[in-house]
Amino acid sequence: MLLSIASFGAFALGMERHQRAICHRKLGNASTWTLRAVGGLGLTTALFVAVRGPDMALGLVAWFGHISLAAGTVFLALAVRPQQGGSSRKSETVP
Amino acid sequence: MQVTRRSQRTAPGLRQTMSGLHIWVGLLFGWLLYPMFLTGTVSYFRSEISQWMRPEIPSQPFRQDDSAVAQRIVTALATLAPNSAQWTINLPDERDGNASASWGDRFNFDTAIFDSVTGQKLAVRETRGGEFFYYFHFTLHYLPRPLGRWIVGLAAMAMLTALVTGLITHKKIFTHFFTFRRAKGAVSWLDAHNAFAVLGLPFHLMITYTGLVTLMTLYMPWGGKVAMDQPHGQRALTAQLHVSVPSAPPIGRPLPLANVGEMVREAQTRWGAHNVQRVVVHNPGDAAAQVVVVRSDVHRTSVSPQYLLFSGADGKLLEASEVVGPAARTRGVLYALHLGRFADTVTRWLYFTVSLAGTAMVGTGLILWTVKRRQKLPHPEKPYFGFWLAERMNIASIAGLSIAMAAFFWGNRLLPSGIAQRGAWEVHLFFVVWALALGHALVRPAQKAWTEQLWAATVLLALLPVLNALTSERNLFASISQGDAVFAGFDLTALALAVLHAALAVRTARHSTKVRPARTKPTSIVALRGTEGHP
Repeated sequence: MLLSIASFGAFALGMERHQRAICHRKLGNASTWTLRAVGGLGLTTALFVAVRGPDMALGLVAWFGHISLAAGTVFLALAVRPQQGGSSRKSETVP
Repeated sequence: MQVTRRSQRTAPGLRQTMSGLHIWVGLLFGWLLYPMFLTGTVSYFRSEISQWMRPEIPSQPFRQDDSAVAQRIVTALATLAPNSAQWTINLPDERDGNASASWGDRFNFDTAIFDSVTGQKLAVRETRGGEFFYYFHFTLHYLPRPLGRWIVGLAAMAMLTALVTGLITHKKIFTHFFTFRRAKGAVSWLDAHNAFAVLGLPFHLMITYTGLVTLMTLYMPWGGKVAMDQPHGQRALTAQLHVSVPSAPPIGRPLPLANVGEMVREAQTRWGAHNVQRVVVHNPGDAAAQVVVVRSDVHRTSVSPQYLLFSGADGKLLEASEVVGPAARTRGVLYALHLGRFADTVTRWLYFTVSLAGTAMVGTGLILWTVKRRQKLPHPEKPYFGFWLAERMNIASIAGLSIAMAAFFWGNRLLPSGIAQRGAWEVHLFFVVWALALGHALVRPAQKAWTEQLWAATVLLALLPVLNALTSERNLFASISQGDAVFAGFDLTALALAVLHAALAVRTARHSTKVRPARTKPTSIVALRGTEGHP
């Protein structure tokens, strides 16, 4: 429950830059800002939901954990997307 | 890292010096921080690990009432150890349905596990259980008491330094928040390192800082020393931090102990039915007996001492110590954050997962160091000594540790139960295997060493459930069908970790470093200037 809300938050935030570059290639500024706002709102809501339980401190800790995990999930989802023409350039392998 | 023309001509910029510091501190302390992180991570399940390592103790599916359990064990101890100076009874909690107790005095004590239903002492194989990893995490085992903690403290300070310098160095922290560039060698490792670090950043900062706080009286004792100069200062200071009751000598007049169950019931009315953690009896059976009932820190985010002191002679409440001063309260909360004892199952798994990410952060950092420099080696077959040593230490610290930890569990099941110091020998086995892994890493070529050790870890971990099935009755099928979360969870986690190691082993075996030193040197500099500024 908490996790899903936080997930949506992080996910929407994740939509901003990377999805623009990877997914649709074109996402206007307005959409970007909306997505970021929605994401931030989602995360803040998750915080309020989390601390409403009997133990506020536990809720706070749980919130941090949930959003970290949600961010990781979003990260993995983006990472396992098939490569889009970036891996063949060898010059980038040798920083 | 983008090197601007301005800073090329003047002194190195902030980011560059921070990057240098990050790399040095991370590399040198990383070989210690990785084991600390991994043993700390598994310590979040130390109760469960201890239970897996004592399979002969039946799991208790139904939670007994604490007052009844306390009285049963007190009765048992009255027969078992009537003349001890002190009994300490650890009551069951949500994760472990059985109780344990220790008796004796400070220098000479015995411990045992007690069945919470019958109050009987149970015959158990001698093992440290999950306590070994927990203590290793901050004492490093073989070292004398203060030295291990000091080294760990230095490593923790180094970790804090690494975190902050890493933050300063990571210029594109927001734009690269979700970046992962696959199959790009060092860049991929860098992205992984950044991901583990940034996505778990609240945890990493918290855990490092609070880790230092747990041993703060050791690292920064001067405030406490001022307190100790005052009369009763020592006692007042200790009372703020730990449950401490002045030990009065026994009068010598025997008197049966008042009903301890009643005392626990009183504590339950104050704190709640499942909030009593342990009962300590001083001078049992004597007229000067005292009973301390200690509140659990499982349901509160603080470990500050809260206890009730009863007279052992008549069961009267003498003192209720439930408040500490603000400094101690702060410490109590920070300490509790580090231990995570208050965590419920979901939160505990979150702690474990993010802590594992922290471990991976240190590991990927160590590996990144060698990957990045391997490309620049003029003779990859014969690297300079520092590189060679760093690579071998990486293998032993990372893959070797996995092997050693798995071997610890194998030892737990296979060492014969009759041998003396069995618990200590399980630990020796851990270190022997780790040393062997280091030796193996020193003699084999690097890639082969990695692959072989990762496969060894895979096999040892994957066969843990099989070992469990062969050496106990609580195999995976039985534990799943009985809803035994502890055993099922352990076996399944072992399998999951085995899969992880297998995946790593396969990737390492397949990896071929594209090394063409003469040709790639110029392009590498171009790529350096090019990639490190780009998203």
